[in-house]
Amino acid sequence: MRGYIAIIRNSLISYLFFRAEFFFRTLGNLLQIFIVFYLWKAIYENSTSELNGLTFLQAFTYLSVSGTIFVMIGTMIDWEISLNIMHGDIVMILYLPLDLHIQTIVRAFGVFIFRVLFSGLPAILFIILVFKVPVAFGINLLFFLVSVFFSFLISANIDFAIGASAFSFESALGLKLIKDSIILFFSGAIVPIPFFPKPVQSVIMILPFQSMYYTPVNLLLNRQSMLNSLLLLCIQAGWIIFFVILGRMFYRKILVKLTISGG
Amino acid sequence: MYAYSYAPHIKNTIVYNAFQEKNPGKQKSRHILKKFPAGLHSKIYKKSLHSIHVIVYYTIIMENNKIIEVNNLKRYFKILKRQEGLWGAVKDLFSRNYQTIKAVDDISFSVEKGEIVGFIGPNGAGKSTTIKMLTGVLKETAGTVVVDSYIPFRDRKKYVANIGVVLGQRSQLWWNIPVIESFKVLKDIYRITDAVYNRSLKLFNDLVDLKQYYHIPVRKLSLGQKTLCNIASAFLHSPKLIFLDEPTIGLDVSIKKNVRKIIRTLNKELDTTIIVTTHDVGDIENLCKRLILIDKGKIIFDGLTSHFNQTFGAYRTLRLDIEHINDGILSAMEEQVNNQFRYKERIAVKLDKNGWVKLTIDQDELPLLDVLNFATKTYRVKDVKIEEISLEDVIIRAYEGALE
Amino acid sequence: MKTLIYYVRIYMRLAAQDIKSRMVYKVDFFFGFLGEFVINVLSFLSIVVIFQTIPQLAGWDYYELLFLYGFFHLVRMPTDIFFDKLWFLQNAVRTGDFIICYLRPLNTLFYFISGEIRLKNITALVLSVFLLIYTGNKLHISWTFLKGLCFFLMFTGSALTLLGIRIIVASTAFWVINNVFLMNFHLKLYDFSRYPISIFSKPFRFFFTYVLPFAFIAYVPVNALLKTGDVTLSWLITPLVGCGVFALACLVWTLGVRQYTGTGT
Repeated sequence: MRGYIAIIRNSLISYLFFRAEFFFRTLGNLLQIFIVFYLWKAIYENSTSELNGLTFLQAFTYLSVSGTIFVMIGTMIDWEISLNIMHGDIVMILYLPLDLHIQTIVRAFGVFIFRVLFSGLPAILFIILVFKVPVAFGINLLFFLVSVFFSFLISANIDFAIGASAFSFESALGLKLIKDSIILFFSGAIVPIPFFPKPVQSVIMILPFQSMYYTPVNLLLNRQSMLNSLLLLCIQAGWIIFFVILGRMFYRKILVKLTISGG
Repeated sequence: MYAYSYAPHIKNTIVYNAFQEKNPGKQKSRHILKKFPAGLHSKIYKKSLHSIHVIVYYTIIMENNKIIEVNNLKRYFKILKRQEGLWGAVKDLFSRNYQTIKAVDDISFSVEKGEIVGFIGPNGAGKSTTIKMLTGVLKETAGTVVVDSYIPFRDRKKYVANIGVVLGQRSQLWWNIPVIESFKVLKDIYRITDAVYNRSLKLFNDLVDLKQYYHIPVRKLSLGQKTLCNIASAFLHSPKLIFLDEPTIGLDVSIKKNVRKIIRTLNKELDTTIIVTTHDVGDIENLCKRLILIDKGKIIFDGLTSHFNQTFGAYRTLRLDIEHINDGILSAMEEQVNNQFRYKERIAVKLDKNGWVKLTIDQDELPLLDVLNFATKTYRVKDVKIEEISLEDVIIRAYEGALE
Repeated sequence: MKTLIYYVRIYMRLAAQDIKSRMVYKVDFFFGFLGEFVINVLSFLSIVVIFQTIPQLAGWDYYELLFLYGFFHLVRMPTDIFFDKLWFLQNAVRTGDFIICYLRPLNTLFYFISGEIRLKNITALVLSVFLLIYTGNKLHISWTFLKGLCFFLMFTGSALTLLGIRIIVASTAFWVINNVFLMNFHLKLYDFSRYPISIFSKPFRFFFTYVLPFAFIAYVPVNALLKTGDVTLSWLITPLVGCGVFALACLVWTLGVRQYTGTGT
């Protein structure tokens, strides 16, 4: 456990190390929010109140909070692991007394905490205060945080699985790009789900991606019954387990290959 | 004007020399001279009757035997002082706490054509910084560098076409391209004629059979093979001067031998001047006639390798095989030897791994034979060996600051 | 001219080798193309989805917006195909590999970017050319020789603007070492050129026209072509801006190269 805490601490420090990085990340996120704002204001320009059952404020909040969640939960795990595999450094993991899967997720968690504290929450506060979004302050905030954490775990485990698959696929970078754009598109983080044609919507609801973005936003903005909230969290937990198992499968494959061929 | 058109790239140096000629007492560096308005350069030049003389003298030197001329070269770096820990990292975000590091601090030397010069010194001594300034990568803080009548940093593009550089730890070839294709690209880049290109390749094939690697991408070669190809690539355009930065680092013994063979051959057959930086004593012993030792940004030694030991002192190691030796006798002996002889420091008497007693003494201070005589009289000595101190030991002593 | 031929020859040789070596990794090669295709089609689809609901956006109708979208992607092609290695500049600077650029008798920028050619972006190239032709037809643009020439000049100007900005941002690596965050940040700014800039409020419009010239990457030239009808002198602003930005970029690069000292002692 202490080993893992050291990892979190180190990734936090190295994050603080680079001047201005934090500043530009925040600025970038703010700009993103403004772009979403103006783009959707233009989209709603000629309509009286609602498009596809969403008011402008609802659509904007939904998209800007999704965008912030994307910033918070994104990791570079897939990138790191596949680079390690390609350069052959992956043998090193056999020498460390830590589990690669847990270790990488924990390291990403350090970055995640940093982003939640310094980018995510300020950005969400900014959205709520500047654009006067009505939010209920209650137990739903707690649910929101838990849900974002679950989203992070889903995202990190997907990334781990993608990175680890580089071993058999010899191409995780291409895969990463595809994955990123698919997740963004089918999670409704670029265009809200109600805007999609009905058949596409039903496909989206089956996929895990909407649960990474739609669930936390839903928990933040809409009053839900306690039971309903817990149910949504359970679905997220289900997806976490699914991707953990997938990631472990690829990981086992790497270990077997490594111990046989020696890298 | 004659000088100006004859060799424009050494203008500054000429003016500098002219200035010195005119003011023999004053040691002005080019750095200071540069602060004068541009017009003053020519003024000094025109007024000085010696200037033509200086120019002629200078160009002859550059033409005939000198290839590198370094005068009062300095390079300082400003470095941000990092602070420790999490809070330190936060404070660093706002800190302006800079520190000046004198990487190269006022060095002067020159190299003649056809020499093999070894640059040695502990890590962080300023070797690489010097090499970077010689290869045109870094601009000097003060002082002058003239190589083959170019000023490296200013004339970079023209200058580097005439030199070769091998960095032992980096591949200069394209990592995903087969070796021969890399060579072909270099042939285009350096505008090498077919004759020179083929001669270079043939020479390398005769030496190390490079052909076998031609069609393998560089990333699939072993470190040794990569180094051989790197050296070959730096030599393709048959430059007058080659810089080798730790060429044998991490290589096995037989490849080291090959690398040294190549370097010696290039030097002998094509009269290529070679500058080697290395930590490998074997490289120095086998290659370099001349050594330049740099430490803390200053040149500590510049001379023949064979003189290196002598400069440091005429050290000899005396080994004695003594009957029934034990720790008691050993410490008693140390006591006696030190009482008997007055030496600049306490003489250490130790056992070597073969159970022989070992003493290292500077001959200039204390004749070794006196110690030997004393020992044979006092103890039952069965056998004696006298050894010169090894180059490696001298270098270690030099690195540890014993030369200061 | 001789120098140009010299450089082109070296570039062609390296590019050919790079492509050859990439083909060895068949799966990677395939996924590169597939990835590029998926990304472009999906981002194109998001416009399509939005226009299912609304007829026009800030006075731009469906085809006009797609034309803008296609033009933007065409403009980023030269940079993304030939200058992709700029993304790795910070890497080369940090590890000290950049030092090799100094040791060749060539322009440092040229030497650094050569030997890396992103063929997979041809997917996006084909898609955007297709989109431009398709929407151009639907919009009934009346082409004349002069219009075509000006369009080409504007395209060049836009491409130079984008390239110049990329070079300037990448060059910051010489000073701050790890500039990934800046690279990522400037990518976000492209959104200001991908949409009609008229949708943004005044301060943004002012900023991205006169301070950072992102408006010239797509909006200004496409607006000129689609909305002004005939060729006017104002069409030449984009090429001028392009040359200016590119010249500035060369300056920044030179300064960066000069002050970079390499790593190690």
